[in-house]
Amino acid sequence: MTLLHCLILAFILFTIGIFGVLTNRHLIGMLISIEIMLNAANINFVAFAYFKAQDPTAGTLFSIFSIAITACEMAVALAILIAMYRKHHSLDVNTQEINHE
Amino acid sequence: MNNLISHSYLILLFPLLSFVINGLFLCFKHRKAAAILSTSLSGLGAIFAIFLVVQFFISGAKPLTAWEFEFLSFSGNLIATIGCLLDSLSAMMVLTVSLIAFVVHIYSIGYMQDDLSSGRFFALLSLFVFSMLGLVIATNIFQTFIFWELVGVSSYLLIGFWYNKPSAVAASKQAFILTRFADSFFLLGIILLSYIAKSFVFSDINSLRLENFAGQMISLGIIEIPTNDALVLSTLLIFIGGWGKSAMFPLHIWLPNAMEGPTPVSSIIHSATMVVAGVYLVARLFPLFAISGNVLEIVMIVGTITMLFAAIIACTQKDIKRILAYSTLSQLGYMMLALGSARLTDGSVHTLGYTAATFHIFTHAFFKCMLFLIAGALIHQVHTNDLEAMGGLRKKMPWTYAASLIACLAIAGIPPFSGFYSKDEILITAYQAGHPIIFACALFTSFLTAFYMFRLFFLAFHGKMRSAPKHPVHESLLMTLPILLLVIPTIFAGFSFKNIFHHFFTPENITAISHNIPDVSFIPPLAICCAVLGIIFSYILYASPKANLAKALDSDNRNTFYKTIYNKFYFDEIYYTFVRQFILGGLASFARFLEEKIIGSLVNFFSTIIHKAGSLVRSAHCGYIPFYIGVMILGVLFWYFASNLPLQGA
Amino acid sequence: MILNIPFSDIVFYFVAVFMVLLSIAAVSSKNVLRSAIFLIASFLGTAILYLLLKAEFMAMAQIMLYVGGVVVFIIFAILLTSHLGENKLSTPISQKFLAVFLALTLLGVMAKFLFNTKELSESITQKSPEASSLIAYGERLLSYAPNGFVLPFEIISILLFMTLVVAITIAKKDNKEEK
Repeated sequence: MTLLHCLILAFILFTIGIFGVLTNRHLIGMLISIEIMLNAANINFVAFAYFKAQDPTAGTLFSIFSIAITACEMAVALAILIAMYRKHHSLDVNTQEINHE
Repeated sequence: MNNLISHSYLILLFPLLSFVINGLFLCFKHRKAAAILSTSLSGLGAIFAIFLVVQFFISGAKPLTAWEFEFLSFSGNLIATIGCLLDSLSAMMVLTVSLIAFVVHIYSIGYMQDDLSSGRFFALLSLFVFSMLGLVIATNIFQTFIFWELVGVSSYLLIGFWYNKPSAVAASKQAFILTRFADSFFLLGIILLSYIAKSFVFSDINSLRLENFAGQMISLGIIEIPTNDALVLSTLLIFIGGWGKSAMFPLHIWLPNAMEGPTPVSSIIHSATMVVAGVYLVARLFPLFAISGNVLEIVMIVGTITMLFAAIIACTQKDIKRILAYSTLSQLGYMMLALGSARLTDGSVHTLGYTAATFHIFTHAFFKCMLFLIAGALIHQVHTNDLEAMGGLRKKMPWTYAASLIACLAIAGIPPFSGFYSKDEILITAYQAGHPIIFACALFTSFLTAFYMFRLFFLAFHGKMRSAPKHPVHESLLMTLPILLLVIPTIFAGFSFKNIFHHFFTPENITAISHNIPDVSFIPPLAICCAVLGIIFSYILYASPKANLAKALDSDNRNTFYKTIYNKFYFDEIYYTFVRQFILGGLASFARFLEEKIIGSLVNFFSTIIHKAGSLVRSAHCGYIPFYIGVMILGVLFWYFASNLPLQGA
Repeated sequence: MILNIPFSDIVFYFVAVFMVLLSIAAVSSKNVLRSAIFLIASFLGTAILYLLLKAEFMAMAQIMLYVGGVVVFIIFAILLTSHLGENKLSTPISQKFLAVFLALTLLGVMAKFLFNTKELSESITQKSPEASSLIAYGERLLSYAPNGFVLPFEIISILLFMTLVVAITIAKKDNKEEK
């Protein structure tokens, strides 16, 4: 287990997240993909803190903040999602179809 | 002593205030309040004007600038200002305009009381008075032009006041476009003149001397002409502005058609505002006209033609307001003739013409205003403009009858009424100028004036009623009172003001040359004879017991000559054909072709390109989020690959 | 040879493969509820990874916030919004290929940077001091010292509060709409 291995893992997860965002048409599915991407970024933070940092606390704390902000983001995103669902009765991101309804 | 003069801004403030308050607040819902406010403010303005003018003349009538502020600085001396110039000419005009405005306001209360939009009427009337007052107290030609255009636009609004009447709309458009046509020359003249004189101010312009420009050349874009010629050209262009505004032949046709407006409007247009603006402009710039080559001769010829031409037409018309309109044209022709004949045959300039013209503006304003008010009162009672349907109103409207007798005597030039004195001066001027033909024309017009005015008078008031009125005819106080008020200046303005005019009304920078004046003592009796002859002639035709009214009023079975006159020398038709064939068919269709086919297609071409480009970009905004994210990632990749391209060869 | 590999490394590789597979499953599953479950598993793997990296507090936060909070949120949202017989939203296959191509290109670019950086491939691991204890985190978070995090901490608290309000405002039923 080296830093490189951790980073490769994080990048692979990030790429999977991008793939998910690009292919998912369901809004919640997209959110899940984004969560995976954020998680990959957190792994990066913690790995650098563990392997390289003189001050590992700071690096870890950054991922704590990132998790908190993710939670906020999710809350707002889900609220928007519910409001949108109430209006359009669909969570398809292909809004052209929504407009045509 | 200067307290009133230092408050001379009130001249403009009263009507402006009335316009703003009426226009913004009282126009729609409070018709009565609008009428009262407007009338009382114009009454205050009239009182103020009387005191101001009296004080001004008592203190010696020295020209002074009461106040002035700058609002636009072009360069150096070329500064546009709004100010108040008080000299004898503007003081006289302020007095006339304020008094007439007040009287017309009172009259309008009665005349417009049944009209639901009279609030708008009073607002516009105040604007009209405001513009005219601003015009007469202008310190510079730029201010004159601003208020000149304001006069134009407010007259347009007032002539077309009954905007659901197509003829009124047509008349207002005609008045606006014709005067605007002339105004474009006026503006050109102002530009050229200010370019030569390097100033807008009247005192600078009027002190120009041709000698100062001797040998100089001025560049007008592509050509170079001597400055002297350019000065003459600019004077001529400015005169064309006055030509249109004062409805001189052949730009006269808008004035008789402007009768479509409410009668108080006609009254104020014809007496104090609007049409005298042209004469006023020439009088204001008289020293400039005096040095500018033959422009004065052009003024004189135009005045003479208009005078004679309008008087001839007036003799045949049956519409009471049209007769008065042509009579105004004729009287304006008199004024122009007087101004134009100031140059004597030996080349020197005599100032009597200036005095006579301003005097005639003053006296004419009162009796013409009164005649229109009388016409309005008649129309209001009989509900028609047609003289054929009137007659025999003498007993039913005794006060109006008496007043109109005085007014007709005044305009015909019978002493001691005011018209006699001013017309006398004009005849003397014409005689002194040494043009016998023009003098003869003026004398003949004097005869015609008496004839057509008394024709109107006899047809309206004498004889029997030729139609049964729908309502009982009576005189209303609000409409008779202003008429009777105007009797006072109509009687007294002549002999009491004659000396004042002779003493104070001489243009600046011109030294009166009084040598070699021919004997003129025979002119007054001659003029009176002409007038009396005219009255007798019309009595025989229209009022004597033997007169055959049916034949006199018949306009169908007449010879060609009469018909030509009756149809106003077909000038309306000529204009109509000209506009139809040349302007609409030629210029307008060419412009339309240019606009639609060339400019329009060019614009369409560009708009199509932009539209296409827009739809290209719009397709990128499909609203599909994965597409956006994919493009974002592509951007990142592009950035990476582009930065690694071996462009620098490194 | 195998014996030379430490136990933690074995766990790491095992967890890594596990996480990648779970993430792929979460992303490509047609059923949103199922992908949420895969996400939970993936997050649990991340928590194990954090434990291996000696970040016990992070592991705890990961489980409590992500698994206990965010994913539960997501599951709530799914249950609130989905019909029983909802059509599966399918993606055209061309778009999938395009996405794979884009994602792999990006991965390639990132990997190029990764392998060009010398320091990363050195397997020298610097053992962390005892700084990663819970007390150290707490003191660091609340310290006013120049490298303290009290200001971001406060800002995060305000943000959380705002989020609360905003989420309620957005998601509540509009009175006008009901009428």
